[in-house]
Amino acid sequence: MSSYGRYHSQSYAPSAPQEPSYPPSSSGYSSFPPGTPQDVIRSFQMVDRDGSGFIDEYELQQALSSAFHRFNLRTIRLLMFLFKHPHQPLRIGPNEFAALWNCLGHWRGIFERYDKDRSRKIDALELRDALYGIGYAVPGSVLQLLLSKYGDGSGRRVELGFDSFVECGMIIKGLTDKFKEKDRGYSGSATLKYDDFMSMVIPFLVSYE
Amino acid sequence: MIHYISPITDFSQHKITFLSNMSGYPNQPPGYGYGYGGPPPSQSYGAPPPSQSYGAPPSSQSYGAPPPSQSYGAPPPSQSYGAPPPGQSYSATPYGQPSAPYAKPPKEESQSHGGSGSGYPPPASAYGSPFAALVPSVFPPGTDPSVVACFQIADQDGSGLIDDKEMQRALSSYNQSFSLRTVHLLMYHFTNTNIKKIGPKEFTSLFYSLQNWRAIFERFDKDRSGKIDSVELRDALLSLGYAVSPVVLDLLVSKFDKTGGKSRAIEYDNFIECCLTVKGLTDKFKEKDTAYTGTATFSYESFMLTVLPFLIA
Repeated sequence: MSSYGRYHSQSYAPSAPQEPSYPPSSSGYSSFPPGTPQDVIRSFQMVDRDGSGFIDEYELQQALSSAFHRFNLRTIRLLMFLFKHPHQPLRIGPNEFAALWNCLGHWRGIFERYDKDRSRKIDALELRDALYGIGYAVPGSVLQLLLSKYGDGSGRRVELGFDSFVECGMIIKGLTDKFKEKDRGYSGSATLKYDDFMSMVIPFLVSYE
Repeated sequence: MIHYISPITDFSQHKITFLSNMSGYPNQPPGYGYGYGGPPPSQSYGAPPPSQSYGAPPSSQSYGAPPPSQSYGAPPPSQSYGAPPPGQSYSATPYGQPSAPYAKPPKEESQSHGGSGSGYPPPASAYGSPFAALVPSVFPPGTDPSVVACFQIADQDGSGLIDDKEMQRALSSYNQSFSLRTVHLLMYHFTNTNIKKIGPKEFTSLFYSLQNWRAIFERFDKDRSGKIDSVELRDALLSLGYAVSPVVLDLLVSKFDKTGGKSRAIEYDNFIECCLTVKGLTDKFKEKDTAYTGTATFSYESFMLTVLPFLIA
């Protein structure tokens, strides 16, 4: 019996995704997948001023601001790293942009559903319930450690805005999914090779202030 | 055994001495394993020889030794380290789980949770136990007076401890910019707790360690570009005893490149961060790989508790 509950496909969206699974197929220029909503395409084109077909972190920050939230640059970098084509530098094309947009939409749905007091913040209990709600029974010790990283050190109760919530959610979901890939028997533990261990962890580093 | 190499540098002995003093690890037989990634004491900066500079007195076994007399006035906590602090059980927290589905390795618990959730307890409080790692913290005998002076300048509120912000200001004044994240990783490295404060002993170690990082950075920045590229990083990590695969190397460079992959190279502060991350993760892995097979078994909970401190510093 494993504590992480229901199994989800490898994706950073909180529920079963419709979007193509990461990594996106093409190399080089990619186009929007069929059926991409017009506002997504418009948002991308508005910030991709040079028409290169790729946007960088600042452009992504700008593109997401209107629809979602003004994300911290560190959150933006994490998002880009997780969604970009593995061999590209830190930039994303239309395909990845659409997947990211879709994924953030799912997370926003979760955020709103579990922000019971409509404070626009997710507290420890709400975070636990939100993760549980999408199939991740995260041990209390892990949540406590995670949240301690978002405190200001004053000992005050930690609350997450949408960007930190997305960060936490994607880290927990991503790492747990990767761990589960190695825990084929659902035993709750996994034997990892050193190289695999490093490769699974490093993508989730949240760097830069 | 592919990942296990011997440290290849001429200072490997110093390195091991240094790190076993710092981390409480016993000396390893030569030829073993991943090696230890701490910066070796460097001669070029005129640091005193290791036996003096890092020389914890033989009695002070890094962690868990009872505090010498009156440092910080904390009464020696009876269960200083390794036991859950009284009154701080997880079940008392709002998000504690009624029953942990996985057996919890006690070591993980004490290391990762020494202070989380409890803010910054004053050293003398009932929560003194998270400070156990810091308690035998006075300047080692023979500390260079300039290190003491640096400490006093950095300790702006005169608390006797340097917090993360104070450390960041101190570092940025005579080096370049240091992100809080780098500072947190450095502190985590020297305390192995989440407490973002260090005392004189840790400060002294950190001071010399930074000089050594600088020396390593300059030694491997062969083209003097002020940045470490992928090949230079590989060599630097190798010299520290870590042989990472090309895949991991690639991930590291793209993560720590401030320009977001345009320059494919790492600046000084991110270089330290990168090396500390590799060192920290590898050392934690190694703790689980007791038979030195190159594989380690983690429970889900211990995996998460092990890696999270390095992900969000």
